[in-house]
Amino acid sequence: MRVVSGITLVLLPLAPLAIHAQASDAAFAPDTIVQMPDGPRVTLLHADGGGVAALRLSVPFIESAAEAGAGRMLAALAEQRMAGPARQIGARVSASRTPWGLAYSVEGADVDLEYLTYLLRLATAEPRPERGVVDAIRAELTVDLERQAESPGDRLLFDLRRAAAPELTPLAGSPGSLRLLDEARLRAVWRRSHQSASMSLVAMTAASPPALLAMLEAIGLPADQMADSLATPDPQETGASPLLLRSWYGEALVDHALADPHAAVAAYLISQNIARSGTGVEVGVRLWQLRDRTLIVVAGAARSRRAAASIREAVQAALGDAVSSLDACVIEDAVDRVGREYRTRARSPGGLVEQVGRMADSTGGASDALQYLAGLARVTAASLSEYLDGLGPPFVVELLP
Amino acid sequence: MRAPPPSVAAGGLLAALICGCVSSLTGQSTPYAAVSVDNGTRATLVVIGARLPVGSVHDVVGLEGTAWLLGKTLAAQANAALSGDAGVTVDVGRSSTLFTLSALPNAWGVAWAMLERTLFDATLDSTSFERERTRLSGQVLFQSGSPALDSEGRVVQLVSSPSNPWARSPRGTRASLDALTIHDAQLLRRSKYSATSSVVAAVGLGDNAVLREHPAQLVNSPPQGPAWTVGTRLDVTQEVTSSWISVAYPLQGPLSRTAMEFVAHLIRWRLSPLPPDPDRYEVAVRLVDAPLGVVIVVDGAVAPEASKLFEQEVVRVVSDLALDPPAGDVFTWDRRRFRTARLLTEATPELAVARITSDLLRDGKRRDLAEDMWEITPAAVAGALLALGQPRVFRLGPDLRSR
Repeated sequence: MRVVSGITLVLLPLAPLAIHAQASDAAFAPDTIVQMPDGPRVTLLHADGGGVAALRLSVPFIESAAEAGAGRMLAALAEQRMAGPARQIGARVSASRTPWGLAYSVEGADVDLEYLTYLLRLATAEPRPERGVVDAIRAELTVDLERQAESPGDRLLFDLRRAAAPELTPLAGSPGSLRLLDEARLRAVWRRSHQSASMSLVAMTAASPPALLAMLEAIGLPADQMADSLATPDPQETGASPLLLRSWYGEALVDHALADPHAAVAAYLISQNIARSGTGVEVGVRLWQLRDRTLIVVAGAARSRRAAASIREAVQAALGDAVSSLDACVIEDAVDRVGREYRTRARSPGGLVEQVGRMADSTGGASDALQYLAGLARVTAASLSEYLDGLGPPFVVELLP
Repeated sequence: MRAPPPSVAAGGLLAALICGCVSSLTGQSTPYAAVSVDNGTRATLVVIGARLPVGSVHDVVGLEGTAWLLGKTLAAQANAALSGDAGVTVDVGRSSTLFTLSALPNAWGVAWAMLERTLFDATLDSTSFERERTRLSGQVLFQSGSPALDSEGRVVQLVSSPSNPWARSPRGTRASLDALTIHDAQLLRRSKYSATSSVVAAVGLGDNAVLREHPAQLVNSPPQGPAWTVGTRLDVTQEVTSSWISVAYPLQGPLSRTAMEFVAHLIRWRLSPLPPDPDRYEVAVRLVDAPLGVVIVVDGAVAPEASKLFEQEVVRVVSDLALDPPAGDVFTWDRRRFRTARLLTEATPELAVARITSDLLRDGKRRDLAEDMWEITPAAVAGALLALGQPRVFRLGPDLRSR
C-alpha cells in the first residue's frame, strides 16, 4: 500500500508478461494498476516523449428493458457537455455505449492533462440538459431505430441477436423505451450507474501515478448516493417490418466467452473462404461482441427464393471449409493478420487505451489485452478445430419477400 | 487442389531474404538521400515510409496515370509477396510517391527488405499491372462527372498554369489509361525510381534497431512564390445540389513551414463555428506546394444558397487576421490548440511518416515540431499573414438566379 495526496491506495498485482506475446507487445502492458479507495480503478500505461495523453473512463451498467437506450442518450448528452470545453484546447473527446456500459474518452496534449481530467468530470457529471435537448436526442435515436427496422440487413442482425441472446436488452432500445426516457428517468439511470467505485480508467501519459491520481478526485458519485433500478414494464416493441426485395439468410455461432482469439481467427478464415468461393451472392461475416458472449454471424442476400438456398449453401460451406481447411500455414497467416489488425487499432495513444480499456471492460482484467495477444499467438489448427467444434449448432434466421 | 496461400508462395523468397539481405535501415548499403528514425512511444507496429520524388508531374502527355499505376502495381506486388504480418499502402501524388509499410515488430526487417527489393529490383508484374489498370479505369469511369472531383481538378489549374505538367490528373483519363502499357511504367520506373533520390522515415523501431539516421546532403530549394500576383475568379454553373467553393491565397517566402501551417490552422478554426453551421457540409484548409510557391487553399462544400455568404466569410476571416493578427492570450490559446492538433495527428504513425518524409524531401531534414511550435511568435504569425497575396476564387454550383 502507498499513500498519495492523503489517499490510501491499494496497488494491485500485475499479471506477469505472457511468454508468447511479442516483446513489443509490452505496449499493452500496464505499468501501474491502482484501486482508489471509493474511486475508480486506474490502469496507467506510462509513456514518455510522445507529448500526447489519452484517457478512457468506463462506467459499467446494465439497462432494464424499460430503460433500453438510456446509455446512448447519456452518451449523447455527455458529448454535448464536453464538446465546447474540449474545443478550447483542441482535445478530442467521445462518449460511447459499449456492451458493458459507457466509455468516455479524451485525448490531447500531455501538458493539458489536468484539463483532460476536468473534461472527464464534465462527462460523468449529472445530466442537466437545456429544454428540448433530450427530445432532440430521442428523435435522432428513434430515426436510427426506424432506419434499422426498414433495412433488411439490420433486421436480420436484430433477429439473429434476439435468437442467440434473447435475455439481453438491445442497446439501441425500442421506440417504446425511448419514449419513456425523459430527463428524470435519465437522471435516475445516471444516479444508479455513475458511482466512482465502479468506474475504471485507463490512461496513457507521462505523468506519474500520484500526479494523475490527484487529478482524478471527485469523478462520479459516492456509493451512498446510489439509486434503485426502475420498475417499469418492458414496452415490448420491435419496430416495423422491412419491405423485402431479396431473400435474406443468416447464421450466428455463439461463443460464450468474450476474449477468445479463436473467434477472430475463425471469422477471418470464414470471410476468406467466402471471398475465394465466388458464390455470386452477397454474403458477409461479422464478429459481434455482446455483454457476455461473442457472435460469429454469417449472413447474405440473393434475388430469388431459389437463390436463398444458395446463400444457405454458401454460408454453410464457408463454415464447413473453415473447419476442413485448417492448414498450419493458413492459420499462421490468419493469426498474423488478426494480430496486425488488433495492433493497428492500438497504434495511437487513443487507440491503445481503447483496446486495453475495452478488453478490461469485457473480462475485468486490466492486463487482458496482453493476454489476448499471447493467446492469439498460441492458436493452432488443432485448437481452432476444437474451438469450432465446441460452438454448437448455429442460430438461423431467414427473411423472405 | 487449393492454390497455396501467399504466405506459402512467398516463403522461399522470404527465407532467401533472411539469409541474404540486410535491411538498408539496419546498417547496409542502400544509400537513401535521407533517413529519419523515431523509436516511438509504446508503438504497437513498426511503420516505415519511403517517399520517392516521382509523381504524376512525370507522366508523359497522353499517358497520364502512369506514375499512379506504377505505384499501385508495385504495392500490389509487395503485398502479394508479404505474409499476414506486414502490409504496404501507396499514395501517389503530383510530385512524389509514398510507400508505407506497417509490420509486426518482429517482422519488419524481412518485410522492409522485401519492399526495397520490390521497389528497386523486382520485375514489374504484368498481371498485377493489368489488374490495377482495370481497377483504375473502373474508378475513373464511375467517378466521371463527379462535381467534387471536377472542382478539385479545376482548383489545381487555378493554383498553377493549366499547361504545367503538375496540373495533370494523377489518375489519368480513360483514354490515357487505355493508351499506356506496362513498358511505359517500366520506363518511368527505370528513370525515376532510385533509392539515392528517395527518403525514408521509420516510427516504432524500438531501442534495439541499429540505425543510420542522416539528413540529406543536397537539398533542392523549394520555390518561394508568390504563385501569382493578381487574383482571379472562375464560376462554373452545374445543376448540382451543393456548391463547391475554393479560395486560394499565394504565400511569398521564405517562411517557416510550421508558421504557414499555423496560419492555415487559424483560418480553419475561425471558419468552424460551434454549434456547426448546418449549411456548411465540409470545410478544409490546406497547404499546397504549387509549382511557383506555397498556396493556402480554403475548400468548402456548402448549401448553394449559402455559397456567397461562405465566400465572403472566408475573405473576411483572412482579411481580419492579416489586419489584426492574434496576440496576447488569444495567440497563446491559438498556439495551444494548434500544438494539440499537430500532436494528435503525429500520434498516428503513418501520418507521422508522411509528414516526416515530406520534410526530408523538401528541406533535407525533419522538423522538430515541438521546438518549432514554441518558437512561433505573434510577430512570425503576423509576418506569415502579411505574406498572403490576392486570392483566386473558384465556385462550382447551380445558377442561383434560376431559383
